[in-house]
Amino acid sequence: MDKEQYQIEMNGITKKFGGVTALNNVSVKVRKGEIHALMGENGAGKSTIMKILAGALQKDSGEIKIGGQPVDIKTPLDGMNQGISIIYQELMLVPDLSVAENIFIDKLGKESKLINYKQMNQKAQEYLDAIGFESIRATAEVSTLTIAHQQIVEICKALSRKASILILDEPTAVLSNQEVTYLFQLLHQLKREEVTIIYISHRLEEVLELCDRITIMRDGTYIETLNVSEVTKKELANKMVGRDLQNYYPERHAEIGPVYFKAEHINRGRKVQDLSFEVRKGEVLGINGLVGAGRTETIRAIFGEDKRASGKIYIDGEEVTINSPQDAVKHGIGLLPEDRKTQGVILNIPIRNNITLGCMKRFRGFMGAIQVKKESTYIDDMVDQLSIKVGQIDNNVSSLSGGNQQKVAIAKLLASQCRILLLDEPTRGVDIGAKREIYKIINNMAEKGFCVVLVSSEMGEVIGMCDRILIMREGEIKGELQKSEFSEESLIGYAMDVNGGKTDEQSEDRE
Amino acid sequence: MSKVKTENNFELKKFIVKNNAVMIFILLVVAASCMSSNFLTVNNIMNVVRQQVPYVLVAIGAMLVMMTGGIDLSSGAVLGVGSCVIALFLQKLQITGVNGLLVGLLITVIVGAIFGALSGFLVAYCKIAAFIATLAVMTIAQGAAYIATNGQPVRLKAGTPAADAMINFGKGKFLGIPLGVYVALVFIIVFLFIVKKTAYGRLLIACGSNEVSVRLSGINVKGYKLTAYIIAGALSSLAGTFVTCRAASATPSTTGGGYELDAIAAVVIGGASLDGGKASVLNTIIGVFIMAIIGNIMNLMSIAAYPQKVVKGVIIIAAVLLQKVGSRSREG
Repeated sequence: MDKEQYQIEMNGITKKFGGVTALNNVSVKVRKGEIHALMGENGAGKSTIMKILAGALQKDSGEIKIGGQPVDIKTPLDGMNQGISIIYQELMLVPDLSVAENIFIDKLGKESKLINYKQMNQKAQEYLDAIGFESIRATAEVSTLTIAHQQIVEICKALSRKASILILDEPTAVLSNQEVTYLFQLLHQLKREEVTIIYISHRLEEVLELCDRITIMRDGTYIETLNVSEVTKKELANKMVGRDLQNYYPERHAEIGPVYFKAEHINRGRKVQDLSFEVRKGEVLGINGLVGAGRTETIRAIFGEDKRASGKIYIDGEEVTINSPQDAVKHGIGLLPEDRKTQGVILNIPIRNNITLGCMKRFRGFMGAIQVKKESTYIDDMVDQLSIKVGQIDNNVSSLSGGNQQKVAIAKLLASQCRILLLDEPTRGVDIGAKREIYKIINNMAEKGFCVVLVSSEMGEVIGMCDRILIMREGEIKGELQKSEFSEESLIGYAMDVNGGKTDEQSEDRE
Repeated sequence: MSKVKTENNFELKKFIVKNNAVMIFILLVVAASCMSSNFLTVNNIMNVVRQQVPYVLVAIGAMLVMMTGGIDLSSGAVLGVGSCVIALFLQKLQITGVNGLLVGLLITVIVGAIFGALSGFLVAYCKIAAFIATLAVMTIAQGAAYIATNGQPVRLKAGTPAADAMINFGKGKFLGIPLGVYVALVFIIVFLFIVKKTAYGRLLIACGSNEVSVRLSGINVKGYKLTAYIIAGALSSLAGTFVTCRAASATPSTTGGGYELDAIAAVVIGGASLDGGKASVLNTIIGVFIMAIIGNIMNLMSIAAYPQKVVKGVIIIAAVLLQKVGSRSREG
């Protein structure tokens, strides 16, 4: 193939963080005007190599060519001057400023100290209109927009810099299905305008639908580049993991017992409306729905973290009072929060302190001193059981990979001896290998007779893992599916209310 | 730069950063002994150590609060209140016996704990920023001390067993070491144990590191925060009684003596983070003595009080900057 065709050539890129090799001799070649997917498990090095391209990180060795010319990209500014814009997973917008101010933030005060708001708003609106998002007003405060619309603002910001290369890092992680459709339409439009797009994702379906070619990475190395037309979903998954993924969802042999947990008429503002459900011993109950449907709010209200307007909770037939997480845990209800890094674990204290956080009483020794040996034995046991890959249990949790951090959070939950487990997106941001291990842990808990509530936006996950699925929309349970009725179509049907005639967009605008 | 050299540099830097409080302390001791021949005398050292007893207690309290991610601006004022409470108790109620004195000490500590509880309640339960809540409590404590004393100093009149016990304690030595130092040592050991070895210490640090995560684990974060402020108040108030012992009198102006700022500075020099979750008792004590030696050496060299303050400020900045450089090198 002729070399001249590539707009971006990254050859033999190597990058080390301390002693860890994040990228080992990786080469990525991208053609002009294509949508190029960069795939791999968490920790494969996708984000790292793109940060190097954008100038946010520096390579240790290797070369980068843009349009056939070798370039030296040392800072994000160098990257921008090469026409490269990157949109990170965490959006880099200023929430209190207007859409227009955010789009032109790097130009504010450059030409004149006084801002001509009229002109700026007009120009911003032109960008928004041009890509078909007239509904976003340039004067609106960014914090009032949905996440999807905020992402559009980021894209406008990139376009205002005349970006010819646009990098998106897992843009759909926080979007609803409808919003993903909008985003894809926009990306196709940009492609027609000859913008080169690099799309980082580990969602297989998405990549197969959107992209032209795929580069697969694994453990910091380049695996191969494929045309989308040449590959199936299963092959792709196997290539990412490097092993066969047969029986992706492990089998469970749990005996489903009597109803143990019951929530009745839970209300909390618009987000949770008159919600009732029950969970049996040994059952895994899925709660599915789009982002913003009220799933997280529901379990937070049950757990006592958010105040309920009304509602009763029964355990084993008896009503219990739960007004705080403390009450919940006392009654054996445990929560695995949706955001691992800010809620699930405490990153900058040791693994040991995290796991036994909720069960310190068990290791109380002479004069209140912690019985460290007894504690260590307990933790080693737990680490074994959940196969957490730790160096030393006295290292900080931040030293672990995402999947292992999540396992520490699960270990903490199990250590507090809860029998009702509310798991909020337990596999979010976790690589495929670790995902499967987490599924095994969930099965194990169900087999022990625990009640498991699995909140997840991944349809495959709830279909593969649950005995029963509740589907939420606009704060209400809109449907319940038994195992025999499971299908993606029926889930989408309830989640988006296809028959009700109300579209997702309308409900969004109301917010 | 060759590779070996950068690695050496890195190791050295890491060592300095990790032990920067100790390093500064040693450097200061060396510098101080060079600058004044009076510095390394038993008399001078005992004097410095004795003066630091109240600071040690206040700093331990300040450290506990900072571990939870808060800050206690009221500790200096509560110390002043403590100083007045014990003196008023003895003089106004004409307590003469040693048993009465013990009751007085208990009351003093309780008064301090109540001020601490007020701060803690405002911070943990009313969600008022610690800076503001403790600023308000500081003002209240100052006012209370002036009201209780009518703005006048309260002298301990020698001659009763209780007052004599106080005054003698202030002057007294055992094995050549001031009595107050033993008390401070006991508190240092007790809090070393609490912070390092007990569930309470561990959970306090956890609360400061990530409050949400701890709360979602079903732990009473508010309660832990509250206790940190209560302990800080009690320790500060107790520290006030040492001030009364030394001076054989109490004055409400002690409430504005700036103890809280020196204590906070000591904790920060000791490497604690204002964001919480990171602090060490030993480093805090070293921080206290760094502040003390700076003051002492300048006294010995007859430098006036105002320039002293400037130098102290510069040292605080230097210590904190050193830590910042360190944490950045760790990230990279």
